[in-house]
Amino acid sequence: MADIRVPKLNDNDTEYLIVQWLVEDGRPVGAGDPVAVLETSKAADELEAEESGYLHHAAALNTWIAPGAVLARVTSQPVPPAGEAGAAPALSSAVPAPAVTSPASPETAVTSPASPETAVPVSAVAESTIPQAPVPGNPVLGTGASGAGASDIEPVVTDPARAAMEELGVSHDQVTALGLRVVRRSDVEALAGHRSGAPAVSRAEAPARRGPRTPDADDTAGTHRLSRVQRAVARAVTTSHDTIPAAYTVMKFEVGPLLERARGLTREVRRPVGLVELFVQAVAGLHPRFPLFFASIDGDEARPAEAPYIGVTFDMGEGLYVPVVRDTGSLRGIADTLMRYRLAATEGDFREQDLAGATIAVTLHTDADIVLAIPLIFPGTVCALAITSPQRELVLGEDGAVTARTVANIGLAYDHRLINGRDASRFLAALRSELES
Amino acid sequence: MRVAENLNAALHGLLDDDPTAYLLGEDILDPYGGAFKVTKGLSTRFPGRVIGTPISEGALTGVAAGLALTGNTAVAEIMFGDFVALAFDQLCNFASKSVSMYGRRLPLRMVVRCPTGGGRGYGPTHSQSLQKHFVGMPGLSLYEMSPFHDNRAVFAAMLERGEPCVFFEDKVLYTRQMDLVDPLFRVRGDGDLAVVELHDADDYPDCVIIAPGGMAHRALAAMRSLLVEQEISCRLLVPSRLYPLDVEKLLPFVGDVVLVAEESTAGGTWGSEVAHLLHGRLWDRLRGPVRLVHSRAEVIPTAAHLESQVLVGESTIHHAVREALRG
Repeated sequence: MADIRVPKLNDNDTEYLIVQWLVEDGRPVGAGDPVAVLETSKAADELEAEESGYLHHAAALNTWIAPGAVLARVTSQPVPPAGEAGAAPALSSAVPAPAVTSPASPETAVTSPASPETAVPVSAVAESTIPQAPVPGNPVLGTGASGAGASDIEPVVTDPARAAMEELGVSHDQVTALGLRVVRRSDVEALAGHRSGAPAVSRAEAPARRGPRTPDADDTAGTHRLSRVQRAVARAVTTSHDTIPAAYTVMKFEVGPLLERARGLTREVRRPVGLVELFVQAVAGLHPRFPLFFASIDGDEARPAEAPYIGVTFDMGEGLYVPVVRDTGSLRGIADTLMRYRLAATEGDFREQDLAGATIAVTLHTDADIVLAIPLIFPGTVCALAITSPQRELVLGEDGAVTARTVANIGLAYDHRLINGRDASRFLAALRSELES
Repeated sequence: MRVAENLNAALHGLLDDDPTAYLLGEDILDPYGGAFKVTKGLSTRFPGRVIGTPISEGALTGVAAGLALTGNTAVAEIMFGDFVALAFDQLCNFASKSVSMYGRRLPLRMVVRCPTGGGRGYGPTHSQSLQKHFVGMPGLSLYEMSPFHDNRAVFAAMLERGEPCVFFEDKVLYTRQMDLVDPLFRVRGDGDLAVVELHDADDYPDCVIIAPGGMAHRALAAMRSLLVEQEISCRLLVPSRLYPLDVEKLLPFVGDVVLVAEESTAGGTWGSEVAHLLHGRLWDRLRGPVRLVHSRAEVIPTAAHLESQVLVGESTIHHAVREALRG
């Protein structure tokens, strides 16, 4: 047995950092082979084994070690020296070795097959030299020229794909069976579509993927690439139209008094209040009386929602977003939330939780002169309310006198499997009286 | 093979093949073999042609330039690239001018090696990336070491130019493996340019990142997290020659969102030169100006937690890509 002791490497330092093991614990080592890299205040230095045998680490990676201390031991047999189980007790500052130095995981064995002859474990070397912390959960590195076939390897499943697996009930085995290196959301959706008999969209055909395009190619003329946000919209629209049989009912609301009230409330709550804020509050107020309008459909069953979470559409030119107003308790709270969302929509700067969990949607079509807009029903909900822009119109009074009023067409798109026209008109009428109250 | 070994082998090969080749630097002789062991074994094999010098970067660079001027091949090592500033006059006023100021072109076969960059806690004066200070000097070429370019070929290319070259070597690369990437990605070489992308890459990735060798792994780590978290696909371009940059070579690989990442501090960077070249060619096709990612315009601290706040890391690139795609 021979000790590998840390030599004095310079006059400046009293201890050096163990930045890398070049030979794994318990592996064979030849005389003259470098076994570890130590770093001084100025430079990195390799220490070599003086004898051949089996190397046993006596200090942990990323710990400091003083000149003269035992770094490792070389034994003639592949068994560790008696009483040694890793870090030497004398090195009180040594911390337990991080996972990096543990034996190769099954994943490592597959993607970077370190043969017994390989003195340097590929994964350990690569990881320990990354200046930043390794990517959590993704510590495995392999050669770019890896010969492993795509179907042999554990795929990387993106976070959006994981969410889709949960949503659509697709199992890990199913996505593994695809034989892809990377499983994206569109792959999971294609799988789910295939299973339910709907046309499967292969990756090549999916809207998110495009054919070859070189910068100077002529085919760029006349094509328009969907933005990332628009691709998400496209998915929602497609799913909605594929799965939700929608119907639509429009009712005319007189909104003049409402607009007047909004101006007063703006002063009162010291936040901008408009039709949107009032509608969000009123729609939320209908939840106890119309629970099915806030439900989701699962086969032959409808699951009512516990609380009215109101999705509101925003398109400030950066794409369509549907952030969710969860706290509908006070008008001030609603106005606060919507103002934050307006700002976020200009930057596309939403948090994940802002966009999840709507139980109904309020869609805004308030550009001048819009009289009708039929919103899509977002997958997972059964209703979408559309607010169009207020218009002035003439009214013939009972006495024949002509007056003017301000109206807006308020529409409700609804899932006809659950809601019928009568319910829709009752809902709209209730909404109108809620707003007038 | 680790990058330092590859570089060491390249120097062995160079001295082997070229009997006029000399190597100069501080503490490069065996048994020490240089601060990062890149010159290990060379003085033993080639005594007389591997020359340990006094601590004077100006002097050793001047001697190297003189050797090159008289028809030899000279490789000079600056122990820490920060001190190449002491050789600035030799490079700027002597070596680079010598190529053309004697009435006819006089080829100079000369490389100045500069271990560069932070991430090791070496502090303000041993961690800088000074590439930008040498950009735009006629007769001087800049290269950067990368795990995707064989150093033997890079040295051959530098010497073939017949003009002085500065070779920046990011220290964090020395202990990394050559050509090793996350199995999500594949590397293909296109001469001077290495292209790293997903195995099932779109021909039109969401974002193209241009980054020299020392930045490549940070860019790749960001590319992985962008893919996994957001399904954003990126392509990485790693040029070996930084200046003059062959922008024509880049054009077939860039899309409408481009980002340049480098470790130099903000202001007057190599990246701004790249951006300018690309704007000239692609202005009508880009979705926005080429984005620049660089370290903060601050002195590099020694303490690791402070140093990481100043230098470009994976998260800096990750956020910059998201920002670029949003804008």
